[in-house]
Amino acid sequence: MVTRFLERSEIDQMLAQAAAEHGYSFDELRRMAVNGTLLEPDLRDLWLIWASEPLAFSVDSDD
Amino acid sequence: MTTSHPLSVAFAAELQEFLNAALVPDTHVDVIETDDSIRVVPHDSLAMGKRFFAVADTHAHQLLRVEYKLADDPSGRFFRVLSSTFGLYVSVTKGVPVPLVRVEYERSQTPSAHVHFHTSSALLGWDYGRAGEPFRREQSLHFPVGGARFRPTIEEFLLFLDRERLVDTWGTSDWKARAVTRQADYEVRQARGVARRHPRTTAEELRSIGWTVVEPPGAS
Repeated sequence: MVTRFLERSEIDQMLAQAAAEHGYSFDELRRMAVNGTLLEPDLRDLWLIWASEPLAFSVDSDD
Repeated sequence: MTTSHPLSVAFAAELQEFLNAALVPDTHVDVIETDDSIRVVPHDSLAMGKRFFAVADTHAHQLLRVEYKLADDPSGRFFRVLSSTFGLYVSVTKGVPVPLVRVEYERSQTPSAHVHFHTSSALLGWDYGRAGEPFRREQSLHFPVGGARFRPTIEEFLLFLDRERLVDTWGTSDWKARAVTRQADYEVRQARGVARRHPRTTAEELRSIGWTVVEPPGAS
């Protein structure tokens, strides 16, 4: 089991990179996560575990 | 490395031992500590970007996501799962793995524990239409499961995959027995939490079955 320490800035950088891979900016990812419109499973899991703000209850917004 | 969350790290070590028994050999987790909590994630998932565990060597198309965010209580007597996600993913054509079923837990969300079924249901769409509501995909619904205190565990999830024959190849022969033991331990931990949260009800219930329970000074 490997243990290491990460700074908040490193985590935000990781989230920003993941967001970019899905075509979003970090701010767009954050907005979707907190207003309940983040539907992409990979990004939901990422936000759920790594973000400092809770993942909001999501609702479909693209239907 | 010293940690501010020794109980959470101990949980991670025990989880690794269990996953090692249930999944392919040499299943490892990484513990990433931040200023307020720890994350338990598959080994090298940060560096390699592969946030999955292999289920079995012979089933390369099936992948398991198991990730936790935990923190020790300031009292140092117990730890809390702040959020978690686990699910079965399938890589159909060796491409990007897609989820089949996921269990999300976010302590502050309602419902805090819920399942997302990544399937489609024409009947669900029809029903929403009958109610004058826009179409919703089944995967976007949050099926509640047990609440924060009695949410599904990774042990239950793996036993579900086995029982429903979604996964038929496992690690050691005793992994199911370990899962059942760990589930029992979890229920005891949760019972302790319930007692702390509802001390008066707990005392009343104990008295009703013959126990003598004395309130501490200053109990409200």
